[in-house]
Amino acid sequence: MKRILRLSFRNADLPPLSAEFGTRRRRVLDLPLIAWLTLIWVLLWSTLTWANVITGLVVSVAVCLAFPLPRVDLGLRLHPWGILRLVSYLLHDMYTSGVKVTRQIFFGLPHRAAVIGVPLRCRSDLMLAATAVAVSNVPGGSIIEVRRATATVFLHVLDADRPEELEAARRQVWRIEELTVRAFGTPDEIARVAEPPPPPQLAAGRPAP
Amino acid sequence: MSLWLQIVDTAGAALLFIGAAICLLGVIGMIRLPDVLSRSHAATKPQTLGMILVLAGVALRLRSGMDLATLGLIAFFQMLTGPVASHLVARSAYRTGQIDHGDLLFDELDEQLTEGK
Amino acid sequence: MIAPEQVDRVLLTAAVVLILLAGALLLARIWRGPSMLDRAISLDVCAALIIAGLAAKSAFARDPFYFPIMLVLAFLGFTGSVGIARFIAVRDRPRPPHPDDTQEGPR
Repeated sequence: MKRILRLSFRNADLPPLSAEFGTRRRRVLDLPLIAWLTLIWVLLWSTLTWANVITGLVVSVAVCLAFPLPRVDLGLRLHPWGILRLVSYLLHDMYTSGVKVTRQIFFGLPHRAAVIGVPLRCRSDLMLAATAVAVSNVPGGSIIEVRRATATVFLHVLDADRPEELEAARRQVWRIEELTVRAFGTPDEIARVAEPPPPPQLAAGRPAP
Repeated sequence: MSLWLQIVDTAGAALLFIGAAICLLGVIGMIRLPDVLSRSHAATKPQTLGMILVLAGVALRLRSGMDLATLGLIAFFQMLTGPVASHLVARSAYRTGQIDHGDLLFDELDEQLTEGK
Repeated sequence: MIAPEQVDRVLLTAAVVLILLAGALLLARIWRGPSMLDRAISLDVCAALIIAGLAAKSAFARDPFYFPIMLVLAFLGFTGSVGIARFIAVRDRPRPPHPDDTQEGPR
């Protein structure tokens, strides 16, 4: 007699926090994904009733069965304290860089912009993407290109005439990277981020050709 | 209506006003800045800071749990989808040569692209 | 002595006026915008401004009726500019993409 539903703590070869059910064709459900989809469903209806929760569960299970995702371990861990620190730093940074961009808009018009490359320390794709999203949410950092092989982001900075501005932009990216990895990363990524940032491979502040 | 609720209401209205002003500042930046990439700097401001302040203002005025969660979700998705669009626009502006390379002080991406080819 | 509700009303009305002004300026940018990519960025900001306007409306009425619309705009507001950046801007090239002759140029 086979069990219809298996949870991951009974079965070691399933990914964490997932359930497997079905007897003939195995289907693996990702429980956090289903919880997240149900949450969005309830929020879309904007009333918390049992009917909404149950229909949300049914719809999200149906969606996950109809469009199955590949089984990958994203390496996403949630650290609440780190998320809080990341959010507060981002809000503070949005304020300070917003003030800076406003000053550039109104007073610093004859500025020269530049494209700088910032090598990052984390190597996983998810952390790279999360860092890129966090950096481009701050006014004053607009990401042009992300190089996956070398984990380098290229961003466009206003006001590149002053070397201290460039240095500040680099340090800001590294700080956001560290906070992002501390909020979402796996332990070895956190250990990698705790090291000092790599030295810039390209000389900063070269004169224009 | 008690005094505290009145204060929270007025604070919400003030936050909404500040957020709208930040939106306006960002749009003025989009008018004044000279090229696409600089404009995308200014465009980030109404999308993030202005949006958060406006939504916080609405949250202070509505004050019910479910509405707060919906507003949080709106802010979350705005933060999540905005960078996708701005990155794609910046990337295709760079790749299709719509930015003036002579205006840039220096360009560390250009060297890597030409090295890679 | 001004009634506090009046202060709220003035603040919210001023916010709506600012958002409308920003929308008008944004329309000017969309009109002038030298390339399609400028218009794509303006489209993003336009979605943000629509969300802000709906937020002001629901703060006025204390009514969460428009929240799903705001949510859908936050979800899908970026698709238009992604489409422009992927498909139109590549064809809308203002000059041939030689890396050598990028020194001058009208835009």
